[in-house]
Amino acid sequence: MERQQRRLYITQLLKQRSVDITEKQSALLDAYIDSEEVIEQCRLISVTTENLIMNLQENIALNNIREKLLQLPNGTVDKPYAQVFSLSQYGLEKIASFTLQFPESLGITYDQQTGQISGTPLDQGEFRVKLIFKLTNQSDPEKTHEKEISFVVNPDPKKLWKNIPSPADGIFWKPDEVKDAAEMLGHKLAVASKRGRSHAHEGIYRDDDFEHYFDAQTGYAVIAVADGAGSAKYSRKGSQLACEGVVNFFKNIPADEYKQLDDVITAYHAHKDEASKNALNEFLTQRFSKAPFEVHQQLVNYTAELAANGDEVKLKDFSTTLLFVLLRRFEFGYSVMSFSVGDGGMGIYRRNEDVTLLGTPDGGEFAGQTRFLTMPEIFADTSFYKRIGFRIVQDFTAIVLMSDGITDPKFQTDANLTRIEKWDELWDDLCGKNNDGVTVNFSTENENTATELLNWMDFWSPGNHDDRTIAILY
Amino acid sequence: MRRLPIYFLIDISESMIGEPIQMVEEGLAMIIKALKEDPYALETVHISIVVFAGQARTLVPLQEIITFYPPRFPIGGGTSLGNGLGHLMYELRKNTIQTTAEQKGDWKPIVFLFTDGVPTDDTQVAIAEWKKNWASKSSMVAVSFGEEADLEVLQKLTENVFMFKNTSVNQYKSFFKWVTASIKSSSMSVETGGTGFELTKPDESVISKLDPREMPPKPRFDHNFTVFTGKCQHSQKPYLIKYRRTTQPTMVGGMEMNSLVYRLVGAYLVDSSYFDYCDETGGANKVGTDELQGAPTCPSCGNQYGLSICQCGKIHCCGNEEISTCPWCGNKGRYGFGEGRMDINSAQG
Ligand SMILES: [Zn+2]
Ligand SMILES: [Zn+2]
Repeated sequence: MERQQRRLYITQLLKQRSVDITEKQSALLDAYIDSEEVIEQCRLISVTTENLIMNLQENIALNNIREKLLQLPNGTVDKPYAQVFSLSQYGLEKIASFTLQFPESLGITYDQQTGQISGTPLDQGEFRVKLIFKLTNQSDPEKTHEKEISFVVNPDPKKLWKNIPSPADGIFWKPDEVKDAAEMLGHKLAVASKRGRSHAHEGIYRDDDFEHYFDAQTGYAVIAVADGAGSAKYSRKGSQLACEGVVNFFKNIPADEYKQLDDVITAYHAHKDEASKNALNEFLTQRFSKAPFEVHQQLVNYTAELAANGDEVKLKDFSTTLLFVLLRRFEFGYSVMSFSVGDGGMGIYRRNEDVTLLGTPDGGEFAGQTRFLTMPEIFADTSFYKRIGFRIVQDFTAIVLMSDGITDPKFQTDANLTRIEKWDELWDDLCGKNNDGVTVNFSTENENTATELLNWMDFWSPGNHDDRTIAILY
Repeated sequence: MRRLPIYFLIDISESMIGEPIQMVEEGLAMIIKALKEDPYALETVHISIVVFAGQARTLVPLQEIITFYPPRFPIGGGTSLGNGLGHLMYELRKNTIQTTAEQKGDWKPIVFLFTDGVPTDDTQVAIAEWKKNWASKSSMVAVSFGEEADLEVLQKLTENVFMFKNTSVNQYKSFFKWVTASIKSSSMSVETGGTGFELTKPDESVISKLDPREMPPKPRFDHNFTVFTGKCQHSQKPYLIKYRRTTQPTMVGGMEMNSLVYRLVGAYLVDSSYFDYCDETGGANKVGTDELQGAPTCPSCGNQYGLSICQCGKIHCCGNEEISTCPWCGNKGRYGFGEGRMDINSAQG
């Protein structure tokens, strides 16, 4: 302390203690403050006060830093992680130098030169990272302080899904995944059906199903896809019976009747007049439309039989959707008859050209509003005839039937099902334009198309883990 | 992908300071951790946290679980449920993806409302708007923390009103387990064609559902807690001092009588954001210093006495320093201790 400061300090101290100083005493004081003793004591006071203030400031600064909630952006296990760490992003001032220490076996390091955090987290969970730092102007320049930062490593969502086989000895068991290939109408058919991740996770059955049939003699082909309702306990059997029933129905139509149908279609194509239109309509309403109705009746009878044997079953337990086409190749093109009840989608696709949607999916804004083959009201309703379609097309890239396990992730909405861009995207996706590098080769020489299709169906789509079935005639 | 938005609307009024808010903080972290292990929830559930005291804010904007990290909860003065609901509806309006021809929208949002008190504002307008625009488009679960919440107000909002006995750490654990399980089963139900809102059965000794057809018990207006707001004279940081209201037998003129006393629960530092969450009205309760049992130290600087009252009526900390400076009004003064009774204003509650 300078002389001036010493004098001020001591007079104020006296004032604080209410000690009055007379003029005579004041002169004494002047001499007193220059004594060795006072000079030394004032020096000590000054140092002590400085230290006190410094400690207090250090403590407050430390407290401020310790109180701050610091978190690094979350990482994901087995996924490369890179972040630049800077103090300013957390509003941390008063830190002179620092380093970060990650748990040793985590696989993440901090580079003090570049400020880069990098590596690939090997473990999931919440980890503590140590921030080791020194304060600016701290009293002991060697001392380091520590603070913990929380670092969360998320699990890989794909690895959370378990794959538990469905119980093979369970009632109405069927394989968790199937594929098939066939030749029909001079084309090839590849079809695959796979249990959804949500079913695999709980070890329950695949509810989807498919069936196909081609009679070289009559020239007619049938392809059917069905999706058993997730909420119905025996829907896996419902979908199976529906597909088998449709195929059997068309197998049982006598060959000469198919001949008549050939004539009806040919006449319709040639004339498109009232008479030929009526003839075709009559076949569609009187004959073709009996297929879903007969299958519905079979389900009713099957339920009654089981119930007669004492099983507690209701028709509802077999709830299923159904999509099918009856196809025939003519010189002038292909005739396509179709029927649909429930969600999913089917279409005649011409790459980069157009898509003809067969039937409009029954869906509502909210889930659970779809219609099922097991509902008698679908046959009573006049809208029943809207479920039936007929087209003649010159050519196609593919005729596709899919359950909603495919349409939900790939098309999202029914409106998108009518858009050619969405179909082109799907086709490109099938042909290898996807994140998984999976390709389905649709060359007619390829023997493995169905296997590739089954692999392709493993595609990842968050929140979409329903059973998946797709049949492609190409 | 269709999102399942889950909103937490959380009361952060002063009475929540200490264990309740700490438990909520840990509970939310626990919920997130558990949902991360659940493949259904991880992919569909999105979470947002809206907090309210006198004012309401979005603490965590709606986001997927994978990017979420647990926030630190602020504390404020007042229980403006109207502001809280208003802000929640603002978030719902802003975030909810509607179903269009090209896109599937969100599943019905689920709202968890946690409150421990009686609204300090007029809730009528907000409740009317809620009923008109959101009651059918979302599912709300209102939970009363303890027995002091205004259950009648909660019943106007939803059929799902629950009472949560929040007196021990285990009860909190059980409570947040129930919330987690309900979120999990709801997220699973959206994928399996259910309604997307499925509360699991709670442990009834901890969480009990109110019968929506019956009149709820009246809220107990005599608050169990009294909270004071202080400020550290060194760090200028605000802190809250919480007292539990209780009665104790005393002898008055040879007669045993029950007198009211306040026992210290603790003193807790709060963010300076505390003032952002307070509403304008001051605390109404006046408490005499002689009714207070136990004095806190300053939670910021460790000063001996955390409950010194300046002539401006506000509270700050005091130590051995000769001259204290009031961090509220700047007045410098000297303190003597233990002289007579003073009345101090409690915070808003
Ligand atoms: Zn203090
Ligand atoms: Zn003051």
